[in-house]
Amino acid sequence: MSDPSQSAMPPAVFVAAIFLTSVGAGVVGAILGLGGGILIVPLLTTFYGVHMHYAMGASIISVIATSSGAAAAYLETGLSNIRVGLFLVMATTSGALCGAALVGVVPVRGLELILGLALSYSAFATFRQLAIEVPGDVPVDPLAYRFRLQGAYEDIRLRRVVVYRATRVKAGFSAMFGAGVLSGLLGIGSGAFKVLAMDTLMRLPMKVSTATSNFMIGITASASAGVYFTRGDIHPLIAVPVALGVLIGASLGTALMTRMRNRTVRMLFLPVIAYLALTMILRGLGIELR
Amino acid sequence: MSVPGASEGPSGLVERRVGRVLFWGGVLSVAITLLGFVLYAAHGELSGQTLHLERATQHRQEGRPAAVFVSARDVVNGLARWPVDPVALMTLGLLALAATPAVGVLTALVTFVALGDRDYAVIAAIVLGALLLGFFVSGGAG
Repeated sequence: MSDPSQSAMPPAVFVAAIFLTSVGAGVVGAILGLGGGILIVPLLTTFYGVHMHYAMGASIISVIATSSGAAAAYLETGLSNIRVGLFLVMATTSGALCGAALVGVVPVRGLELILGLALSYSAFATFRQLAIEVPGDVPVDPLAYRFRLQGAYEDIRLRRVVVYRATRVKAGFSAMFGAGVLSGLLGIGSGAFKVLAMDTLMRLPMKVSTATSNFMIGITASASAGVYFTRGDIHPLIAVPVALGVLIGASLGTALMTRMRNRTVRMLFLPVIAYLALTMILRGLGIELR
Repeated sequence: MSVPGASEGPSGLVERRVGRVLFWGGVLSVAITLLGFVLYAAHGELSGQTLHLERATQHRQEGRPAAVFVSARDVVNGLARWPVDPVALMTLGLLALAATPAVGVLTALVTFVALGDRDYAVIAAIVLGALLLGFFVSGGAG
């Protein structure tokens, strides 16, 4: 290429490469219940030199693709709990709206620091629960009973039906609202917080938490997608291979996750929270990693 | 298995319907997107400059390429042309994908109403309302 502004990779190779990368991100996103923004944005910006705006536009599409690719399978197997999902999405979406309204009013750095510390505690709590495969008897919560926040799924790995019921619903709902406020304020996804609130606070099985998070992240991302579109941040040559790759990856991920132990899912999740916590604390202290 | 709230009975119906909407919404979106992409590549545009891929890479932001659509009306105009604009087709697929989860919530709402589950019909309506509000107010709902 004579034009120095041209991307180093020929367009066809570039498109094929981000497609394959997205397949991998889709597998991980579906297993961990994360949007994929946490994976797609750094991959596209660091390895492919994609501008942050277009990476975020592709990321929002990848979140929805992960959700659609995974949620259908998870809903069918009973791993994703639609009632728990809708109940908690109420908190995240209303929190996100409040957060968006507070942009410019509250100091973001202080919030990032608080969030980082909260995540560090969650990482510690997740580590402590590493050995717990399925939560045992949990305290009865009248709200969980009232809103039927319970379910059962057939665990292929454990070869038995796992019955579960949520507890500490108020705490989980509040955490979701807080996560929503932060995602509205900071423009970050909240897949990790959703999983943590369900797993650590509400004591749902880890696999139910990540599968239900998969359902929820698609709903919240759907609200943001229009804004990215009207800003021109959804570049078809980036978003299309990402969407296709992530959808295929997410379908593969669901097949893998149903065969995994809750402990394995938690072990995969742990470094992601640790990384997020570190990034948030550093940003709160005014240190950018990149 | 007779577990309250498990994936059978009335609650199973909601899950099956929403699951189906999400699955077929995803499949349909991908089919449209893929068709647009194949047409785009078949026109030899992949190595061309229509979408100015280079402007989006190497961390550069030199303004949005004119061919990247930013309004539904532009997409409709692109689709109304003959031959159909492949970029409009790709964009339509991406928009359909973006709308799929919201259609899933709408399906849940309709099913809860049909089942007489007032609590969850109200919850689904609140979520749908917040989604619409979020769509008009801010991009920070993710």
